[in-house]
Parts: sequence; structure tokens; C-alpha cells
Amino acid sequence: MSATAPVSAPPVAAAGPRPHPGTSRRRSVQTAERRWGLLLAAPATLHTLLWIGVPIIVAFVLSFTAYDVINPPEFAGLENYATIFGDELFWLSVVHNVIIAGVGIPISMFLALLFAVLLNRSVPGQGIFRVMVFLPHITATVAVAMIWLWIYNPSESGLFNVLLGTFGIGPVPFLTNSDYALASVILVTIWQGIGLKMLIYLAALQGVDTQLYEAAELDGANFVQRFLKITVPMLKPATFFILVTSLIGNFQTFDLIYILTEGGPANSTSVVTYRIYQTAFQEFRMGLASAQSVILLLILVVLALLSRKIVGGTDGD
Amino acid sequence: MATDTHTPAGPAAPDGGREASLRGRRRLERTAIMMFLVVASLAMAAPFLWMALSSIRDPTELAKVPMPLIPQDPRWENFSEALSRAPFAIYARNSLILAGAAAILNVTFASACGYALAKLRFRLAPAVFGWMVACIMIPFYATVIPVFLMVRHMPLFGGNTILGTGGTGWIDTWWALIVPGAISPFMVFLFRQFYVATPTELIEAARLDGVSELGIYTRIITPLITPGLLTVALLSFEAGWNNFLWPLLVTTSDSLRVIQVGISSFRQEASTDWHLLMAGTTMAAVPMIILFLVFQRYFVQGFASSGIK
Amino acid sequence: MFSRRSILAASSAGVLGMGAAACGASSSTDDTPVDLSGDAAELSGEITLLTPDFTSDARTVLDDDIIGAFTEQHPDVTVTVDAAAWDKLNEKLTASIAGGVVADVIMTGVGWTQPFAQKGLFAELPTDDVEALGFEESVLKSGLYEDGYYSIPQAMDLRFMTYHPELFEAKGITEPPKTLEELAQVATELTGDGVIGIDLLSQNIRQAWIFLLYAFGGTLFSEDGLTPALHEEPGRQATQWILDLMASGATSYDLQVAEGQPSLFQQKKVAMAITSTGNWTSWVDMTPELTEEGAIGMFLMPPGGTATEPVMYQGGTLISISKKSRNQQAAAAFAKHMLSPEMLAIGNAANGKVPPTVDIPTTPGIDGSVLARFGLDSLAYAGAAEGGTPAWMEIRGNLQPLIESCLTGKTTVDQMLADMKSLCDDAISRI
Repeated sequence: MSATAPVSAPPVAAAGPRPHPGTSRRRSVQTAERRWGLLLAAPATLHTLLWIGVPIIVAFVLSFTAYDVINPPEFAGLENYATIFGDELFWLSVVHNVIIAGVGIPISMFLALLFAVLLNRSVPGQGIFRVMVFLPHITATVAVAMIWLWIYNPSESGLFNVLLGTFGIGPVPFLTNSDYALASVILVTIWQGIGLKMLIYLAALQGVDTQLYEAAELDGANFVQRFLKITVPMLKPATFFILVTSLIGNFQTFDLIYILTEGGPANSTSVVTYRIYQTAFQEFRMGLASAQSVILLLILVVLALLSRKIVGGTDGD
Repeated sequence: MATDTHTPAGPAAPDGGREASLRGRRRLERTAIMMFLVVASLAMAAPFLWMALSSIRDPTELAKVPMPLIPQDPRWENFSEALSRAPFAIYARNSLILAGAAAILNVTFASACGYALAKLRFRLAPAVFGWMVACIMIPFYATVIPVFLMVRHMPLFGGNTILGTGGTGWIDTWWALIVPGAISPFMVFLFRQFYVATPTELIEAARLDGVSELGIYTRIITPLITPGLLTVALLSFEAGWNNFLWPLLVTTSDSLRVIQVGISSFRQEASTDWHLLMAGTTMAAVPMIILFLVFQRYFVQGFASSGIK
Repeated sequence: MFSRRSILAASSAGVLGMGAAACGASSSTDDTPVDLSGDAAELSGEITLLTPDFTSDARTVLDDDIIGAFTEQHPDVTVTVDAAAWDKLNEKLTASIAGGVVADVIMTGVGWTQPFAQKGLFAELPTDDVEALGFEESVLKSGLYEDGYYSIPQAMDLRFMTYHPELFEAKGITEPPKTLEELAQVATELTGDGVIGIDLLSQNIRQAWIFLLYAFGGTLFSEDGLTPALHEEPGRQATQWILDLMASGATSYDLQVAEGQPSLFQQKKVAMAITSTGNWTSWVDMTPELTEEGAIGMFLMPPGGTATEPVMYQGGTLISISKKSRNQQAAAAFAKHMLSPEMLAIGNAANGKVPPTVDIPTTPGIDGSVLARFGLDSLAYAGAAEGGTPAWMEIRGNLQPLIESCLTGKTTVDQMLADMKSLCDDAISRI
């Protein structure tokens, strides 16, 4: 950003009748505000309009075609949408996403908040603890998935089965049994998601006035009470943000699941983005994949609105 | 949470018994909290620690079932061997440039937009905000091909005519790597959240003092959200650093390949050089860990204290 | 939300982009078959090779030995390598096709040829030139589409049964089973004392099922690839055979190994297993005692039902030339170069794969592998393979869940077969 900036009009009361001494200044402040609002928002807006807006329009147009990438698209009307309507696997995948989100996100958020709150005070080893919690987020997904494959190995040598074995519980087929696979995947998503949420909560906690805590403590409030009565309400905007972005993120990522289970066994861990990926890149049905993406977008819009209702949004939304 | 753990409760409490019970409770709390932290953090970090341990294992040790916890024959050459298998110096440089560019561009432009949406009143504000949120919802795989097409048909680059045909556009160039993802709507959204929490009164006061809008943004309000700036910088850097699919798609030449691509080459179809893969992934994670360790120091209560009082 | 002007700008840019893509997709189609005879001495220009193999150490071999030798003969040709991992090859191909920047020489897997040939991505290769290479018919089959060749195998991954002779001896079994019924019996006999009879499913379930389908004399599709055949009697027999084995405990669905750890066969937890020639490198690294002569026994998958011949499964990498290549001559010459005996030997030794022919110079990396030698000796039996229809890309991803549902008891065999048939019919109807 440039160092020199235009100076707003000086608050001079010029000659001539004025209904209110500060109007001209207020008006010029308003104009400056409007101008700068547009100016500051422009780069990001234009960039996203170009690199996200145009592609989504292209994708939207493609959703009405049959396009196998190699040959030019052919118009197909609403056929793709009709196909999706009757595609059991697609809707099953949506259900899986909802389950993963519904179970995983609240647990993940709660743990993240707990970590953030505990690691906000100067504990010995604070930095190390924070890094440890954040490690799952910065480790490449491929490595994460492979390690969890080892942990979840269905024979007695998988780490979890070794632990269970000491309690006399037989080897559990975490990922090879279609009844357990989804739950196993949810655990991994919780584990991986805590770090980022904790980071955002930490940053948000910096804005909470510490004097509130001190006063409460003097009044005899214990840890839990301070947490529930002060921390949680003050963090509502951050909570809303994390909820919405986690929901969206949940529907967007599939790398982890892909490597862990490839959507199986027997499609019990299939998620929507994996279906879209399969349709687009393995089956070369780009038109159908575009239609699926449009449907996914609609689902996310609904979910975002729902979150607003639940958490109450933030000011000005 | 309370800041200092060693501060006696404010002015000398008239009631000595009350103060003692406060201290006692605090100590109990502290111990319980420490225990929880140690166990929970280990649970979080265990997979990574296991990976790091495996990075110095001998391949035959990996063959042992069950695998011993501590490597018995540390093989530090894994690291140099991993580095020599692919031009990692180049890959690391490329990832650094990509990640650094992402961080700088996002912090600059996303913060500007976030601030405007949070604090400035202009007519298009709700529309822009709604647009940003909508952008986050768009699935990546829906836009990959169209964005690829746009990159390929960029007019007047890479041998393209003004209509964008004939050449390869931005394919296999830095433009393709950096530009499409340069400003993330997620970061705009995040910045807006941070800015919303800043006090508007400061802005009003600054205006009264004749500070320009730009000056308010750069010199007064933005410094208040330093944790936010650092968060965005860290997250953007991490996204750029770990980016895999997009660089793979738009680059062919080795001189533009990134670190994750290099690491993935350890997974061949027939067999995986597990020990090298672990070594490579650990090495790739180290810069991120260091960055995080350094910057999280600023996430300390009161660092970005508001300037009201 | 958008201003009128921005919508106009955006949509015209989109249309422009799509139009350009459409134009790019149909231009420069040259229908004359590629010249593989490699006469042209004066080749020049640039070509790109897209390959999922040749990673890590093998990359140096590709660059220095294979490409190096080629550029010595044709100094005016520049070869650029675009390396894409196997699990990202789909995306890479799709994006590059959509953008019209496809590589000139493309390497893909078994089963990919028919779909891409039908869509007009691969150029047809002259039959005489292909057959002049002297490869076995069984091996060339994967490159056929409508009686023309569109790809040639460059590397093979052959699968057959391996067993531990000492476990056989302990139960008094003197020779490998000759039919699938015998194999099932032997597997049951060998189960016990902490050992499971046979490991079928710990690698790729879909491919294991297909292997058994062919062993029972079935095929995936009809000759022309337009009618499914996998749901017929051999498919039912194959599925039932696996289910019976699972019921008797001689094999298990839960036999999995973490990547990077030795397979159950290597750990001697199973007596017999489907093994691939590509497993050799991990044997050398992790369980070298298995690589000695006579340490393990091998046999082809015996026939079952009405079939009479044993079967070997073939996977691998095939090499094709893009129909839209701007330098088809150089591309063809390079492909031919990679298929020459010396280059086949060098390339496959580096990748841990097996060449598609025995006519190669002696190569320690290949000759030293017991598995590779057995596979090469049995090339004539390499009948089981994926693919065989232009609709394969749409079918293959959806087969495994169907098989898994049946093996885990969620659907019956007949249901699974019916589902498979409708999946294939559906996909084929859209060709």
C-alpha cells in the first residue's frame, strides 16, 4: 500500500448558511468512506470474480451439457440433474457428509476451544503444546492417512488393536468393516481439524478483556464458570466463523478419506466431493460432475443459513 | 483465563483464609490442566512423532511386525538419501516462493477487503460479503478444469494470440502457480471477523483528528489485529507450502515442481520407499513447525490489547 | 449480486474460453496412422512424455539412459518428461486434454486404452509394425480396439500364486493344486496354527475378483466390448468360490497390511497368496530370505468350472501416441525407441517391472528375480486383465463397492451380479 494518502477535506466551516455546522464534513467523510470501501475491497473482489466467478459460470453452463473433455460439449438439458436425482450413491454420500459434520465438527470445536483456552495462559511449555496440537494440520495429508492406516490396521498388529488387545478385546476391523469405517474416519477428521480451529480461537481470545476474568475469579467463579459465562459468549463471532468454514471444509475435502478407504468398504465412507471427483476425473463425465457441484453448492448455502440460525450469526451479517 | 499464575490476588486481601483457598484451588486447577494438556497433546502429536521416528528407521526395521517404538538402528542417511532422490533444493525453493507469495498477497489484499467489509460503509458491502462467503462454498473440483482452461488460454502469454489460442498461455509458468489462488475468500472472511472486533470509536476519533481512511486502515486499526495478521499469514503460507494438485496440473518442468510433488515420488506403484517418504515428509513439515513456533509467541494475551483505556 | 456489466464480461470470457477449448479439441486431427517404422532420420522439434512410472531413482535412468540414448540418435529432438503419480494420472490427463496441452507420448495402465481410443485421444498404430515387435498375443490384447492397435505394453506387472513349500510339506501336500476346487481344499487344509490358507483380498479386491473370473473361464466383456459378460456363470462361480473360502476360514476379508510393512505372505501368516512380480523389490528390501532359489513356490491360477487352462493376471503400463500430437513422427520414433529390447530391459529393471517379452538382453535386475522369470516364462497364459470396453473408465471405480458389498454379506451373489450388469449396460449405453 502506498504511503501517501489523500487527505480528507478539512473540517472548515465555510461562509454561507449551513443547516448544521458539521454536515459538509460528514458528507465528505461519507464519500471518503464509500470511495475507500470500494477501493480496498476491489482487488480481492475482482480477483475472486475472475478466478472463481468465471469458472463457476462455466461449470454452471457445463452442467447442462454432456462433456467428456476430449470432445466438445453437447447440450443435454436437465438430464444431468435428473440423473443426480435418481443417483442413490450421491445422496448416500451427502448423508455421510452430514453425519461426519454433525458428529465431528461439534466435538472438534469443543476440544479446540478447550485447548485454546488452556493454552492462552502462560503455562510452562505453552509453545510446545500449541505446536503439538497444530501438527496434524501442517502434516501433509498423504502422510497423515498412511499413519492412520497403520494405526487402524485390522490385524492384531495395528496400534489400536495392540492397545485393545491389552484389555482383551479382539482385533477390530476399523476400516474394513462397513459398520465401523465411517466412525473411524470421523475420529481422524476430528483429530485433524482441532489444530486450525484452535488457532482461530487463540487469535480471537486475544481480544477478550482479561479484567473480566480477574473480577470473576475474585468473585469466586471457578474455571468452568468463567469458561461458560465469559469465554463462550465473547467468542460467538469466532464460533460462527469456525462452524461455517468447518461445514464448508467438511464438504470440500476428501483426500484423507480417499487414501484411507477409497470411499469403501462398499461405499460406506463415500463423500460428495469424492463422487464429484470420480465423475469428473475417472469417468470423464464433466457435465454431470458440474451439475453435482451445483447441487453441492446449494446444499452448502442451505447449511450456512442454518448455521446462522443456530449460532445467531455475527453483527452486521 | 487468568494471566499470571504467580500474582497474588490484587491488593492484600483482608480475608487471609479466602486468599489461601483461592491459591489452593488454583494449584489444583493448574495440576489438572497440566495433566490434561500433556496427555491430550501427546494424542494429537503422536502420529507425527511416530512419523518422525520412522524417518530414521532402517527399511528392514519397518518390516518388523509389530514395529518397535524406538528406532533401534538410527539411520540418519535417510534424510540425505531422500534429498538426493529428487532435486529437493529446487522444489523447496519453489514451495517457499509459492507459499511466501500466498502469504504476502493474502495479508495485503484480503485484509484490505476484510477491513472494508467490517468497518466501512459502502453500498456494495453486503453484496461483496455475500459473494465472498459464496466463493468459499464452491467445490474445488468444480472449478479446476475451467480455471485450467483460463490459465491455458491467457491471451498474449506463452505464445497465445490476443484471443488466447495457439500457445500454452500460463501453463508451466509462475503465473499459473501463484495468481489463481493469490487472494483467498476464506482469508477475507477471516479478516473481516478480526476487524469486526476492533473498536469503531478509534476510527471515529482518528477521523476527527484528520487521519485519512487509508491511514486509519494501515496505521491504526490493522496493528490492533496482529494475531489475525499472523494467523492469515501462517495459514496462507501453509496452504501454499502443502499445495499438491494444482502445481501438478499446471506445471510439467522440474524447475517449477513443488515439495509435495517431490515427496509423492517416493510412492511408486509397486513399492513405497517408506523410510524415505517419512524422512521427506518430516523434512517438509519442519519449516512450518518452526514458523508456527516463532509466531505463536505473539498469541499472548494482551499483546494486541485494545487502545481504549 | 453481479452488475450487468460484470455478468456480460464474465460470460463472454467463459464462452470464449470454452469456444477456444472446443476449437482446440477438434483441430489438428490427423487420421493417417502413425509411422512406427522409424525411418525418418531427420527428426526435430519437441515432444513431451507423460509417465506415471520412472519416479525417484528410476528417473535418472529415464533421463540419462533412455532419453539420453534417443537424443544421441536424434540430436534435434528435445524430450520433456511430465511425471504424474499413478493416483493423479486421471486429473493430469483430464486437465491437459481439456486444455489441449496433451503430451505427445502417453503412458497409461491396462484397461485405459479402449476408452481413450474410442474418444479419439490415441492415434492408431499400424498393425504390421506392432506385430513386428514380436510380443505375445496375450500381452498385446490390452492395446487393441476395434481390430486396431492403439497402445503397446512397455512394462508388465504379472500376478500368480506363490506358496511356502515348507507349509505344504508339513501337511503332506506334494504339488501345487491343478484346479480351483483343489486349491480351495488345499487352502482349507493349510489353515490353522496361526496360519491362514490363502490371501486373496489384501491387495486389490477388484483385480483379484477379475483374476478369478478369468480362471473360471469367463471374461469381463464380449469381444467388441459392448456387452457385459462378467455377470454370467463364471462370475457367479468366482464369487461363490471366494465366499465359500471365507466361510471356511481359509481366507479373510480382514487381512490387511499397512503400507510399507511386509505382506502377510512375507510374514508367513498365510500359506498361499496372489503375488505380483512388482513385489520383488520389497522382498529384497524386507525379507531377503524369500528371494533365494527354492525359498518359495509358484504356480499359475488353476482353472475352475468348465475352464481348462491356467491363467496369469497382467497389469502394466502401455505406451501410446496422442492423436493430437504436433510432432507425431518424433513421438513415434521415441515410442519405438522405448520398446527396443535394450530400453525395455533398462526401463523395467529400473521400475521393478517386467518387460512384455523375453527377447531382451540379460539384465541382472530382471533375471535375478525369481518372480519375474516365472512370469516371463508364462507370458502365453497372461489372459486375465482389466478393461476390454470403451466404457471401462466409468465402470471400474464402481465395481469394487459392489464386490465388497457381497463379500461382507450385505448383498447376495445374484444381486451383485445383477448390479454389475446394470452398471455396465448403463455405462455402455452412453458410449
